[in-house]
Amino acid sequence: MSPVADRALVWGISLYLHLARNRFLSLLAYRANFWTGVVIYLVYFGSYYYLWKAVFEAGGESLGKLTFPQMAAYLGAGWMGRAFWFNNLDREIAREVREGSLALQLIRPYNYLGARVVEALGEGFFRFVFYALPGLFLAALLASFPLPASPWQWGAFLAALLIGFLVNSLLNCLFGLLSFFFLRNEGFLWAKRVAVDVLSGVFLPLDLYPGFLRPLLASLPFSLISYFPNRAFAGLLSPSEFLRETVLGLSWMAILTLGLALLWDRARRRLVVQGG
Amino acid sequence: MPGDDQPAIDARGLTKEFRKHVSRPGLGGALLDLFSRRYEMVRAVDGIDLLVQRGETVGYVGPNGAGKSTTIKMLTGILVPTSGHLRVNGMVPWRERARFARTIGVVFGQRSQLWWDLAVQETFRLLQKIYRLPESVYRERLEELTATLGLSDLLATPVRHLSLGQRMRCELAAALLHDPPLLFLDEPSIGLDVMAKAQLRRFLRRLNRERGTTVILATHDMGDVEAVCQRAVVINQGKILYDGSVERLRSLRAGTTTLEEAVRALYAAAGREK
Repeated sequence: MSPVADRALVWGISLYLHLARNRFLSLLAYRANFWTGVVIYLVYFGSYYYLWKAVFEAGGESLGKLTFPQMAAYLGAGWMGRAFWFNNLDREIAREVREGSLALQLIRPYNYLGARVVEALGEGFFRFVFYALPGLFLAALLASFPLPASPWQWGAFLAALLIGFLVNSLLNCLFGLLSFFFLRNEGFLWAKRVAVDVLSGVFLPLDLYPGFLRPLLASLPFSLISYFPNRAFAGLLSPSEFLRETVLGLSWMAILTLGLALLWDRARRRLVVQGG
Repeated sequence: MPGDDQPAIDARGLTKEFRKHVSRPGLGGALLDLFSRRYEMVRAVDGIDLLVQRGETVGYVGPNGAGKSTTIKMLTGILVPTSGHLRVNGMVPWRERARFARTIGVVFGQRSQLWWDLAVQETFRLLQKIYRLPESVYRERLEELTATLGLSDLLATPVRHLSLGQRMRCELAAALLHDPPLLFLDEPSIGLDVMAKAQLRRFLRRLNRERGTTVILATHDMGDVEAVCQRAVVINQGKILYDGSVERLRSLRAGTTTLEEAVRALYAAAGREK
């Protein structure tokens, strides 16, 4: 790499770290959210835990290939993982388009969507440290499901979680950008949010969907958001399966990034800055 | 910087059209709108020519909805023009947006570019990274702006606790941290009290005099124009009505003595011609 490109890269990384840090600091300004955040996710987890407990007690030792402790670990990782990857990037982008504050983003010499994703990562880190990790240990304690046994299993879980986060954030950018074309798309974003929760496997593992749907859902990007890290956490992935999912994740990230670049280009020409 | 010999702004036939949704009247109309929407094209900026040399101070004047903001947004690379030729600092603003953005500063009176939840200095730190300012350059520049704008007590304050006047001073510093040769201000004095307005105007004059910064000031406050600008461009309904010195504008029509009256007479005359 040339020295100039080298220096640009260093500046870029330091800028992105700083953006993530600022988001982290902004969230710390509202500390009261912390406890409500943890409690809400524990309640979500608890209700699904007891629901599945009843199902397993009625149905026997295992469901599909899953035992109950595996199911509990899957749900724990699912809900606590959601505390990490969930963000309102789509709504924030839509709001910036609608209220015209996007104008201020466009006078800055950086990549708007890149900066947004990095900020979301700062938020994700905050959510991970303050919601997801304490939530996960509390849930494991209360529901007595096994935590990953090996460093490799922890590593696989964290790597899968990061891939899921990036896929989700790219999807959010894509849906947020659609507001360039609709201007009011709350209903649309709401539908997307529910679709992500259902199709990503937060509520139930994709293995339990009917046969013809399973391979389809497993190859969609949504499955990477939750189904993938949850299985890594619960020890349901062999190394070759982990590798295959990682490749699928990287491919979807490339496709989504390309789609975003095209959409961004079209959207910019249609931008109308409302008010002021 | 490269392109010092080029004009700051060179626009010819600059035009921006928007598609505007037209609602049909009544409930039946609203239902019809669900299935087929009707649009009409609105020409917000209609073929304007504008040549600004480096170091000029230009007041861009017009009533609400005249196309002022739309022009500024094309000049700053935010909006893509529908047609026309446009070079600002020798670049096509929207096409070379990131590179171009390093050469301009922008202040919007109605929007803030500061991080709402963080202390003012956090925004400046971030801007240092965004504009890739070496530590020594950044410190020197910040010190200078802190002194001229009186920011020393504000740096550690969260933005949400600032008064409007204090915030505007911080916005100016944020827009000028990277020392751009060209500064755009869109209605910067809206809502400011008399003291804050006077301070803003003094600062802009000094900036232009001492650093040679080109200042484009979009406003409908004639006081701003009189205090800061040598040249005035008056726009209404997307077309330029007047382009020349502030001095000449004042005495353009017999019987007008203030700039305010002169501009009003200009709008009225343009209205009659239509």
